[in-house]
Amino acid sequence: MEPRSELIEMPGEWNLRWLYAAGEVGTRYITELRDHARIMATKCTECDRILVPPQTYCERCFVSIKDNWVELEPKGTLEVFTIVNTQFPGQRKPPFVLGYFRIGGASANIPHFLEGIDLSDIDKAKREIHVGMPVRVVFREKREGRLSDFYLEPIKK
Amino acid sequence: MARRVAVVGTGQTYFMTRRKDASAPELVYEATTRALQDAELSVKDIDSVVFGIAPEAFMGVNCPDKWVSDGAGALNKPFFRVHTGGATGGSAVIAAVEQVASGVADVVMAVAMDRVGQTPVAQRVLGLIWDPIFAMGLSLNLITVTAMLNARMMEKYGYTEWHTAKLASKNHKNALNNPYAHLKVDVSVEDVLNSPVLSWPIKLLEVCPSSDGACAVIVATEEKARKITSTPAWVNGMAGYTYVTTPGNEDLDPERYVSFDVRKAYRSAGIDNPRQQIDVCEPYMPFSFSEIGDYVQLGFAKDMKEAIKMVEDGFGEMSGEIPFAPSGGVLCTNPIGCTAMVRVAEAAIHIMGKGEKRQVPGAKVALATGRGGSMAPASATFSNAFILAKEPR
Repeated sequence: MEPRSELIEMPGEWNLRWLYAAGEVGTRYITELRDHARIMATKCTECDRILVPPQTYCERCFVSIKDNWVELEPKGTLEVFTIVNTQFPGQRKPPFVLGYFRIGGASANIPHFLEGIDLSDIDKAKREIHVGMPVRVVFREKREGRLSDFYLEPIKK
Repeated sequence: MARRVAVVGTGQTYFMTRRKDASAPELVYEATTRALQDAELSVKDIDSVVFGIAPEAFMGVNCPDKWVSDGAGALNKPFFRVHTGGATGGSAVIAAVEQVASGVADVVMAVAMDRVGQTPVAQRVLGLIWDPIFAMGLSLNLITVTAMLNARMMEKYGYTEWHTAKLASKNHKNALNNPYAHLKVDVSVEDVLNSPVLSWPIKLLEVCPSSDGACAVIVATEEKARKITSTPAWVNGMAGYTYVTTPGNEDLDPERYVSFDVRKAYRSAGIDNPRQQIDVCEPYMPFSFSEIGDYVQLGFAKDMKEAIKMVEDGFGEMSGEIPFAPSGGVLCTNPIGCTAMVRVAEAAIHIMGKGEKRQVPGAKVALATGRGGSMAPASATFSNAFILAKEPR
């Protein structure tokens, strides 16, 4: 028998840093969130799809759309969701609701957190949340130029 | 295709969370030598080598291609790496088949390796595959995103957690017949339903593991293939495809979404009635619920209502109409950049009649698929499909 328990594993760690270039379109998106508390999208000049997060080009028509901006009304619908119940390394402490949302008549969905749901009983919570439920965008008072400058919450009837 | 191409040999390592007994080049060497033995070839018979691996951060060594190329048998030969996320292993086979079909090589070896288990924080690596401006920092990972797709499909089409648990139990039982499978646990539907909820509605026993291991597939021209083996698995159809979408978009719903790659592979293989013509499937199904949508997207069910009934009737079980993932599938073994190649290898194994306890008796036509991507803003999904058959087209 091989002495498997004696096989060596060398510990290693990657400790790297980056400065991610947002580009002109990404810069405007983030700046608009921070300075004007509004969600901006770009609209394709050929197929009329409204892309959010804003895209520099329409991948279908393959034309530049970086100067064709539209402001999205800060409400929409929940399109998919999950109730995260596990601590994934480096990610938010559970439980929380993660979803993709269709905002202001856009043609794509954006991922974000759905706040304002009581998660003390997950079975109860999952009956409260449903595809198509109306949501509003809530901007934080103090905004830092991050996606966390806003979140979504249900529009109570 | 310009020239007929066949799979003439396959090799897999044993898969587990941490293969402490082998370095990365040793894992590659283990798979390539098994494939060469299977085809009864020597490394001298290989004209060219293609290598696939997913993000380096799983293994923690950058540019692994230069590290493993000698173990892949590439000394003094053309060698390159391909990467399309979870579809990598399939893309590597496509690159190998295209070399043979086009006439630039006669015998090509594709090999893929990954060590997802070498880092204890694999989901953290997967937390870093998103657009850093538009999507990072939102706790997205492949479990949470897939859970969302499942929740939407459950609500829209009315299947329940029992249906997905039934499929998970089936795949886990299948893995018991596969000597190379990573997870080998005999679990019942109740065990799956009672396993911890990771990200509702997905539970622990419905999620693929992080696996270490490698796989190799050797492809050859018709002339060489007929000399090498009496049971070549002919690549009658093959296609790759790229699409951009986000979860919740209607084009992702199984009844709307067209698997262009699968349809193209069917067309070139002459398959117009997959349910009659295909004997076994090894689709890329990393989560239990993937199989329900696949029944529609791969052309076995006309809609989701029928697909749900097929789950209840055991359509994809070993004793069912068309076995889905006799190997236990991706649910039981997921060395990410290697996984789609295992699908092709397993499909070939059925055609070659080498499946031993997991063999689908008399299989003449097999389907394999691969899929990789994150379905996030500004991010694509890659997919590929293969039809392997006993008779060339």
